[in-house]
Amino acid sequence: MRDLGAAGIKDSSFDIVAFERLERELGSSGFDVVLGTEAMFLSAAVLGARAFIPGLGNAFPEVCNDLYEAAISGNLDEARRAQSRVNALRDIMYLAKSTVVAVYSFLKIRNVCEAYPREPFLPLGSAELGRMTSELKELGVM
Amino acid sequence: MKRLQGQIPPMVTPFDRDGNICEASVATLVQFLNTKVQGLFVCGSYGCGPLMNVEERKSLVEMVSKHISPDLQFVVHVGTTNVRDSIELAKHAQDNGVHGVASVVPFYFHHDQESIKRFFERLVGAVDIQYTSTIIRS
Repeated sequence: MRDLGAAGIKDSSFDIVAFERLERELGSSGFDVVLGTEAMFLSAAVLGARAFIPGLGNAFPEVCNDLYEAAISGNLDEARRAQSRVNALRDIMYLAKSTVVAVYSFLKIRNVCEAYPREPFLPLGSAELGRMTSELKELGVM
Repeated sequence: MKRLQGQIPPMVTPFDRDGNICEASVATLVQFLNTKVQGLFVCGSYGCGPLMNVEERKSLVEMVSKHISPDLQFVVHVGTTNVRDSIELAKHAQDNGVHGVASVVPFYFHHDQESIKRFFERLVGAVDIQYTSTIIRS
């Protein structure tokens, strides 16, 4: 890809070993290796990541920013806490069985905007939204 | 080439109950994110890009470009099943001021390495803006 003129690659493999290999083999040549998830940004930042594409950031950008700032500044205690918070939110996302549908649900729960997924994705019912809301409150992000 | 920096969420596409793109909610979501993130990645998996046709994807890019802060990095995913549609989307994105375009390998059919290489050669050559390939979950 680098030789074809591409500027970089977004790695959504969820495989930190694969990410490290991309950084090691391509990063030093100026080829941009961007992490395609928030789930392991702390580890990726230590290995050289400077950008990430977090689905969670649609609805909880401040939580993802806390992780970014702590990881990039090298505050590992704070970054570990932030990564744990992000991954706890990801566990709540999985209640929707689709992280895409989960983001629409989070936007509704946070009253950010009225947005529905497109079929074949289906919006969550009120019972599932209620459970998500309870878990978000329990986590302290609502 | 300039490296991407910071948090660049893959923006979901707000649809209405009937499945049409809801421009008012697009504006609200972009304005919500404008001061909280460092960029937007539009029409990717979270953005349901592959669930929209070419005209819808262009329309969404135009909506986002109207509301996105000029301080943000704006990246558009242009991956499709075919070279023509991806090039059309990439050129349209460039015309709407995005900083970069990105693409998965052409999906649905299984292609050999040479075909995939040619796909990316054509896309990279079609635009003057930064091009980022993407790896989806294996």
